[in-house]
Amino acid sequence: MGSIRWRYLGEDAIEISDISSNIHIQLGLRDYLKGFPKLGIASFMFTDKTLTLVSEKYGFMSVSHIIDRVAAYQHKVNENVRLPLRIIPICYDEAFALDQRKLEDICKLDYEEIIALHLNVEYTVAMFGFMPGFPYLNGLPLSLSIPRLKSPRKIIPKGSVGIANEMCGIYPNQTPGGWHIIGRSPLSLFDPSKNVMPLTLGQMVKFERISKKDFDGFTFN
Amino acid sequence: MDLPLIRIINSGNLSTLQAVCRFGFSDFGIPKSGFQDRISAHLANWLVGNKRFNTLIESYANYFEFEVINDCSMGVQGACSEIRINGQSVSLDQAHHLRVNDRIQLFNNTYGAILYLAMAGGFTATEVLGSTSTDIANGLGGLNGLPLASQDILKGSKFNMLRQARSIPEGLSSRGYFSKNVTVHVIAGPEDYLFTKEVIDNFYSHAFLLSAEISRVGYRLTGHPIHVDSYDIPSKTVLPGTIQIPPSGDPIILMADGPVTGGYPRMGVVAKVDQPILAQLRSGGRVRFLACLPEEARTREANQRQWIEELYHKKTER
Repeated sequence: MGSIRWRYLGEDAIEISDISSNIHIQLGLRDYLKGFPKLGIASFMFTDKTLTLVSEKYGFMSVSHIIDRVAAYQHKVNENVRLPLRIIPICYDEAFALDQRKLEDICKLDYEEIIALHLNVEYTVAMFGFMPGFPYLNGLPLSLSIPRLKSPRKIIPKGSVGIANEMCGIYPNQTPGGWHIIGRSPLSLFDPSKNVMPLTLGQMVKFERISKKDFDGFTFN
Repeated sequence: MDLPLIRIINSGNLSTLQAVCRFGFSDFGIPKSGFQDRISAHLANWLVGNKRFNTLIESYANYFEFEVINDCSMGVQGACSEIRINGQSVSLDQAHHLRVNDRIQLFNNTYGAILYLAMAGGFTATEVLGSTSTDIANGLGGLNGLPLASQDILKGSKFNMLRQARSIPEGLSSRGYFSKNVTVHVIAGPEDYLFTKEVIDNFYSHAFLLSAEISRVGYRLTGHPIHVDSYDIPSKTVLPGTIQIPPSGDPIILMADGPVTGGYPRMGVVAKVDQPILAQLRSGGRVRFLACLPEEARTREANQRQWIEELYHKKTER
């Protein structure tokens, strides 16, 4: 199949476009390619519909062998590897929902309607990026799909839950950032001293509303 | 066990402990970190008989000063124009034995930006996710994830003395490639299709000025804003060396602590072989880009790697 499009990203990495944006198909492709160690792939990054492969040594011996394998991959979703649903507590108190007004204006909904929409769906961890442990969650309802802030905020507090375009994300630490902030979670998303990260690629996520009082009493674990 | 080796008196600008990259966590959003100029870092480690990736100090200081707590052997490479031990100027390209209470001053008035200070046996640092390299933005590695500060005490191995002083062979000193004007090779893409041919020609035919916005995350260039029609692209993977074009048109080149994804169009990636040259450019310096094919970039990088490897294999000499 010569129809697969790819480009170099520097001399040591290639990027393959038009991959399925379904994270389960992506992870299936990753595991399939891992079965061919001679291809020399050191790392796999999926972003949207793109797969970035970084070589183990100094550039790939044969890009065409990799492309052939990608083309040969049958889009099978292995349902057995689905991970348990992860519940993420979130508080929508106005102290935390920094963009409450803006969200109401842009979405033309009142805040309780916005909260209901945000709570009502299951999200999928589609990728991590931007900063350590920042999950890009797929599945945001279209009526909440709004562009990023025109100018980024200088400080977004740790745990803030943001929305932008068709994604929801959680800021694991304080940072500047450009997403509209809908609420805050007390959950610790990145603790390098523990080897276990609380979220995994492909995992399903659902938000559960907590009060300000519960938030304040929540012990980070 | 570890011994306290030195107390920093003046840490200068942006000094951190660096070592091997933090590999294998990019899909969790963890930057690579590690040496920005691996050539100078490898040479500094070689001077004191270390392995290539032993933990050392990387510093943008124009002036760095410390005092010695326990006898140790020091190697300095990169952007350093003078070393003084207790006020006496000593040779730049050789290892030096330091004694308790010695006071060491390092000066930089070269065209280079970054100096490397290695101690025999390496410095002690916190290992996080497989690396001791400091990632300041995310508080990982090094000394509690922080940049080095005055009064910090750095520890190291008790095997911290060299039996014989080494010196860098003629012609290999890392200062040789520092310049006010540099040219670096770039592998084009992957988003170069978003730019018109005219804009791309412009990019490769003008020298850009390195602004004062310099960090281990990225270097911002100015002087020739680059126009892009559409910024409406989803976040994609970025690597150290990636040249991003933000809406201001002033290119940002991502460095060792750069993020793993970015939402700006990617004009190209600086070839690995030239990343040390770029890292060493000072603000106010100029950089030109030269398009090159991946194969060419790899050949040049292999040659660079080979002479470092040869140097390391000549263990018995000197």
